Amino acid sequence: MSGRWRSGAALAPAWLAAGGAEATEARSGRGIPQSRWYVLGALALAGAQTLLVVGLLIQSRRRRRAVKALGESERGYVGSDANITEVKLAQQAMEESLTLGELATSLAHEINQPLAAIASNAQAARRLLGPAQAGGEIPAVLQDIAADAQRAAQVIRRLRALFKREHGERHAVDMTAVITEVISLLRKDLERRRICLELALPPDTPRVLGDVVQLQQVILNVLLNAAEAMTDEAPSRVLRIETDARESGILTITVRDSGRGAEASELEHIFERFVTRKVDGLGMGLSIGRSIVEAHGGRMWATRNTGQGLTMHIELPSLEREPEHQAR
Amino acid sequence: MVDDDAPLRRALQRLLQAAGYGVETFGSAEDFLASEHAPPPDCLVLDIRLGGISGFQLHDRLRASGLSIPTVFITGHDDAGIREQARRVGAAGYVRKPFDEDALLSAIEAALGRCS
Repeated sequence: MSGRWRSGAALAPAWLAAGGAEATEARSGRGIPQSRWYVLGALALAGAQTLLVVGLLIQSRRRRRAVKALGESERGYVGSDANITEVKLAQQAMEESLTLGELATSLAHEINQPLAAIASNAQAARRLLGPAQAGGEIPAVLQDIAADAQRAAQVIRRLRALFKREHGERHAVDMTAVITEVISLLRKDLERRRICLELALPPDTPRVLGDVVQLQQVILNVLLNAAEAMTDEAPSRVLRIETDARESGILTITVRDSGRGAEASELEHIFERFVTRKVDGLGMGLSIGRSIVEAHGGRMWATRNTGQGLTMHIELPSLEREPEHQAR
Repeated sequence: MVDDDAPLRRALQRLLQAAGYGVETFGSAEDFLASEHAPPPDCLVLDIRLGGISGFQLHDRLRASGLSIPTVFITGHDDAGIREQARRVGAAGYVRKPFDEDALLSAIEAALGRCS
């Protein structure tokens, strides 16, 4: 670090003569603001990093408790003998810890944008300098700036990896099995609400690369949401779940309910956080569900049925075994 | 190049021009589709996460309309699922942000070297 301060001084002797390394007035030269923003940026990142680590540690403990409550089996599947209250409590804890993972991910994405701009600008500047300046300090300074932007990104990546490990590795997941497991868990609840279940789950659907616990969470959220939309007043209570792999490389899951539905204008709105009709709900289920699906490279959206209710659509990239591609 | 982050567009344009390429930038897939490009670009540097139509969707649309432009996907959100998808749709390259200069430029070189 000290080398850079010295070379900064060599570049702008007028500024140094005016006195003070952290001169408050920014001169016309670009040397001063650069280094100051650099320090501020590093401090901000350090602060964010600390917050994230503390938050992660708190939430990882909570999550471990939640997973225990779910009666964790070998692969983290929800055991079908867990009762619905435990599941809901676990779901809440899971939602909170997933929110932090979500936060880390979107923070990473947001921070990578300016970091990429910093690195690219520095790299461009180095190229633009040309042979006249090639021997001087400036190319080295610019190289350091680009390298340190990369280092900052590494920090973010390590934080995200830390969180991802908490949530398990990615495997090839059979979504039909996931749906079936969640249904068996909810069966009593569905019976109590007198909801009729229609399943169209063709065999041999391609698997999806993903985190089975997270994907289970998505399906649970969507099914609970659909079930809760169908109250006693609804004329018919049909929940239809279908998978479709006709489009190559994509697995589509649709969950259709015959509940209260929503206005066309609300269809995007329901995916926002804290939007819920439930009195005691957190209102995060669909928002988290969509984040998980998008993190898996897929899409999730809702449409209104021509009759009653809504249909939730989930698209996930599917793994296909193609002869010409090697498995990784 | 299509990326919805304006400062990054500027920086990347500077870098690629300094490296000797001609660069046209767009802030969204819609802007790109609406523009006239005859002849089509030799290479497309495409951000995956865009407002509106996503990078993958734009890539699909171009392929569907018969335009096969070698594409290098870029993203600030890097994970196995997205990398797998990029590989599957036949991307010429995949580089994560912030860019390693050599990684980005060799991905573009490779894309330009491909027969489309």
